[in-house]
Amino acid sequence: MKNIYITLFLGLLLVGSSCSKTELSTTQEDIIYVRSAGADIPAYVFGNGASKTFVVMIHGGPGGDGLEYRAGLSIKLLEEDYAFVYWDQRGQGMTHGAYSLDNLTVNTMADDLYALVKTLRAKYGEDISVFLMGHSWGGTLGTAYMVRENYQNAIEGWIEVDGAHDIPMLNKEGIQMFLTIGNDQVNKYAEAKDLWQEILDFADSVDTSNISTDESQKINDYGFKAEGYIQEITQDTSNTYLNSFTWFTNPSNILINKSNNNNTAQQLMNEVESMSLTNQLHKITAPTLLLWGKYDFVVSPALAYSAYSLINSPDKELVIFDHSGHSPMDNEPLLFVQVVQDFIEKHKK
Amino acid sequence: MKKFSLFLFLLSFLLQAQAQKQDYIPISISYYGEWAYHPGIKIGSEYTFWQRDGKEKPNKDRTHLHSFLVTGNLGFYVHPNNHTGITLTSDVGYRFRRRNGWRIENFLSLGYMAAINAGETYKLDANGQAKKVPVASRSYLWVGAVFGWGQDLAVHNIPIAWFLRHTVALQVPYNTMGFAPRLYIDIGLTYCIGRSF
Repeated sequence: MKNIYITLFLGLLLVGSSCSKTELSTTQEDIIYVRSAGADIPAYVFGNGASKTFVVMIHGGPGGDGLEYRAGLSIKLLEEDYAFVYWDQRGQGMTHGAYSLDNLTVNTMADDLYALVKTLRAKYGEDISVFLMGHSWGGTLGTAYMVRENYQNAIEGWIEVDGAHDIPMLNKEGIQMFLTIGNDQVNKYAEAKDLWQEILDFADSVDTSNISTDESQKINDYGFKAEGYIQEITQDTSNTYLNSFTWFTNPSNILINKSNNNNTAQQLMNEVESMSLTNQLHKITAPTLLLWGKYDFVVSPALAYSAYSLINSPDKELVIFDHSGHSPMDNEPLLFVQVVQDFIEKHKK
Repeated sequence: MKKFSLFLFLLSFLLQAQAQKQDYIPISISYYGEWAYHPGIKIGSEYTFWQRDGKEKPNKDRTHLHSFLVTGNLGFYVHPNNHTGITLTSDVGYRFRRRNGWRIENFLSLGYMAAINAGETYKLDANGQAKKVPVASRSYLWVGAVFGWGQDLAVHNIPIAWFLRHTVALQVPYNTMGFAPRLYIDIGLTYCIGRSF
């Protein structure tokens, strides 16, 4: 009889613990892992969990990590209203495990993201709202998620920030931007000629109908360089610092993080360089917010206009930031916060 | 169970070996830090399977020693917000001890590592529902190189040695890149049970 009571007690304990939801607070701080296709993938949750609104940050790269995005005024303000989920992608940051190259694909990463969304609901409750926010390469991965089967039904909305959902197009449009904006800058500012000459020479030399991988890398490098020459771009000067980790509690191991990121970036290179999701954008029907810097040479606003016209969602919005480059969250943080808040408030449960 | 059996095998091998040839049992305990500052503890033992005295100098009652030995170690450490590591390793290597007890050593290390996730881990089941994985960990092969130095107080008839060891280890396999590099430091003491002088 005693054994039966013990068994019942342990059973109830097990059921209780497996069904219990994590308590939500205005200062949520959790680490969760998602086990998927040979990898254990961490996600760090910070911010206002009591809002029951979770924004999954899909980091740039490939070859980055989620916590890189936990910086700046915009994130500080947004974390006051919502919980942000800083997710390390497969083979990057502090993910670990063992799997073959067949499992290092954009599609597998989209599956990982779906598993994360389902995990958030299992942990915090089915009544939470989940939004995805993808920046740069995160826009590629986020778009790959959005066009997969019914994955978009698992979220409340998609926010693409200067997202690279069509690499061949962004290369071509990048060259075009170097030439148009570069020449415009040279005509406008006397000191700009020397700064822009190297970039303009490069842009002139590229055959846009046949851009090589090396040229693609240079377009990326020159894109960031060109952004530094634009006087119209503003910067977040608040020096806001959010990282609550000390050197002791920091989850990162810099040695593994860097080698992980470099390795994964190289191994994904072939798939990424030819990746074009433009012809699948019509599959997106969920609420979508496109945020782009006017002076983004890395991922031209031409991709934003194209995406806006092709996405089939009845709730889609495009905002061009007139004083921003590749990262409007850092260039115009207050406007960024405003448009993100408006979108989330409109579409959350 | 398989891993535990391996540990028992290793331990019994060492103890049996001790019983046959070495007339004392060295037991080591050390601070075990990944990147030095992620704290942990390591216990172990060692067996000297080959040893040769150096040439004695006139009027000296002590001599230097060349030894080859094998060790068995169980380590545990915590990298906060990342993982808890458990390592079960065996080292094989060479130790040189000077007449005054100072010694240096180099080992090759091979073993097993378990990394237990720092947070709750979930996995989608066959129905696509996320379920918690209890005590989620992953197992890895451990390959390392150890450089250490310290002092054996046996030269002063004290059955204790202190040591500082630096380990560069590879956690294998790791994602798609084959291995992940890890750095550790050990600072500890070895007490030789039953050592007579």
